[in-house]
This record gives sequence, C-alpha cells and structure tokens, in this order.
Amino acid sequence: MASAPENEKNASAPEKKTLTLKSMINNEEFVVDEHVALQSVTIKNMVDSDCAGDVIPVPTISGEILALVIEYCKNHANPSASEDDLKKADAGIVAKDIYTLIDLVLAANFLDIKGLLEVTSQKIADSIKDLPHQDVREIFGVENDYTPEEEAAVRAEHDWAFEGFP
Amino acid sequence: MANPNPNEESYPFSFSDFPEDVQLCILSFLSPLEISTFACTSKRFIKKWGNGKITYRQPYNTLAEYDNLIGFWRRSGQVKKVNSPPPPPLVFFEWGPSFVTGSRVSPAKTGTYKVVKAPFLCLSVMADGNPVSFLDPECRFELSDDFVEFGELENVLVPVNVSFMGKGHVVVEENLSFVYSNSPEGRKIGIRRVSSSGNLSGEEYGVVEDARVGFWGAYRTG
Repeated sequence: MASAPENEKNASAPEKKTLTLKSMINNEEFVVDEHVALQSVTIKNMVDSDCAGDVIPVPTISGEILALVIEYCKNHANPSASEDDLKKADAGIVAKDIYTLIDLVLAANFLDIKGLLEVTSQKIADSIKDLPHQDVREIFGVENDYTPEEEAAVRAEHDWAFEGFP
Repeated sequence: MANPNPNEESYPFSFSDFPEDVQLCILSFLSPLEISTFACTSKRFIKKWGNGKITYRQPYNTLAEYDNLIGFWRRSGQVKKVNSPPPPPLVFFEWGPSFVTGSRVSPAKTGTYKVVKAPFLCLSVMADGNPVSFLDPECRFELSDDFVEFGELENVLVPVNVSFMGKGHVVVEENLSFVYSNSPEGRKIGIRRVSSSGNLSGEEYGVVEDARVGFWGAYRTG
C-alpha cells in the first residue's frame, strides 16, 4: 500500500494543545502542553468548566516556583518514566532551601497537585527533624508565647515522646 | 507566597498561616519526638484532650495499634454451627473517618472477580481516650461520619476487646466489663444499623455467627 504524502500525515495528526500559565507575581509566562498542566486539579477544573482563557493567571506563585511545578508535572505526565526515574527527579526538584520548599508546598496546595504536596511536605519535615524547637520557631516564623516554666512543663508532659517511642 | 525579602532570615509567613491541609501534611511526616519538639514552639499548637486529663500517649498508642490492623487478615478458630456454612476466612481492616472497620470478604457469587465486603467490626476511641470496639454478628451496621445514638443497637452490638498477640495475631474477645447505660461516651459512636439489607442480599451477608462465644482470632496474611 502506498504511504500517505507527508503533508497529509501532518494534517491528520491531532494538534498538540498547549496552555499558557502566567505568574502574577512577576508576570513570567510558561507555555506547557495541556496534558502536563492538567496534572493540577485546579487547572483541570478550570479547563473542564471552560473557565480557562488563552492565558491562565496563577496568583501568588512566582515564576521560579511555577517553573519547578511545571518540571514536576512534565516528569509525571511522561508515561515512559519509571518509578525510579520519578523518584530521582522528585528528589532533584525538592533539593532546595527551606524557604523555596515552603513556597513550593503552598503552590502545590493551591494548584492541587497531591504528589508534589506530599513530596515537598516530606522534604520540609525531613529538614526540621533534627532541629531544636528554637530553630523550628525561627524557620516557621512562630512567636514564642511560652514562659520558660510553661515550656519546661510542656516538655515534661511530652517526655514519653523522647523515650525512643517508635 | 514568594518571599519578597529573600535576605531576611525568617520567613514572612508563620506556619499557622499555612492552610490546614498543608500543616497536617507536613506534620504527618514527623515522628512523635519531632511532633513533640514542634509542639514546644508555641501554645497555639497544643490542644488539650479531655481538658488535659488525657495524655497524648494514650490515643497515640491506640491509633498506632489500630494502624497495625490495616490490611488483610485470615481468621482462625472458626466457630462451627450446625446447618450453617462457616464464615468467610478473609477479613479486611481499613480506616474510616473516625474509626477502623473490619469486614468479612467473600466472593460475590456473580461469576466475576467481584467480592462482597460485609463490615462486622468497628474500632474507635471514646471521648475519655479509651479504645472502644463493637462486633456486629449480623454484619448489618453501616458506618457514617456522624456520631449517632446507639438506641436499639445496644441489644445487637457486642462490645469487644481487640488485642494483638505479637505482630501477626489478633484476638477479639467479648468485653464483659463494658456497660452501655452507665457510659455516656459509649452511647455515641459512628455506627448506624441499616434497616434493610441495602445492596447485599441476605445470602451475601455470609454467615451469622454466634459472636458471644467470647473468642475470635486472626492472623496476618502474606
């Protein structure tokens, strides 16, 4: 059977749909394949309900963070990526300082990307694991509202947690 | 969300400003020791249970034990009843919103790979922090998010103790010391009996066994 002419082949191939995501923090725009962007439940809901225009504005997420989110979505939208590949790629994405991770976890929550939320939360949890509570306070901007006596009492109440409990 | 002052040492947002989903997701990856360290950062992260009368260790231990139940188990020590086939040997435990259920798992008898899950055991925690478990011999209770009054179920559900023997065996025994009427907390638990058989036919409930034999055992599959 004769093969179809090249231009006919192109005409019959489905056109790849793209979406443009725009950071409203610094107006950076990212053109991504639709199936990549749809990893976000928030964006998927917008597309499904015909609320997505040519450019989808993403409030409160910087271009730097949006780039990381898109990298994650690209990796996980790739059907040929193995579990090991994805683990390595995820580890690379979350190998960031704590403040970038906090931005990333909030972005994952806003865009409703469960896998990214979990992997980033795990990394944040890992990074505060061995820190004294004074450092945890500083990282998370928590105001110390304890008197020294109250703080000692809380630690005493939680002594069981320091007894090698699994 | 972006840090407008990256050179500042502390983050412009406080952890308590994070959406609760995010807070819980981060905290879920911490061990008891790390949670305890976190609780020492601020009073706002400390919530007293039972007006401070319940230590955190008690519900933590109970929930850790319940977590060990999750998955498939195989029954042992079957009760033999005349004119009744034995109950299905496979039991599946899973988390509900505020309880753990144990269900008998049996083939759906429809010629497919489908199975019938018939809940017969419910484990939860009472307001005083103590674990509480009930067995419904007829597999007819339905679990919901809402706490409902026991009402007539007092005569149907059997209070039981569920305890581990090592890591691979579980024993269910009737809790003879449980008193419904004198226990206000015991009257409320997320259990509701369905009045009809719902989607399951009477046959599919499997066997109605006499739960009041006081002993029931299972071991971990796989």
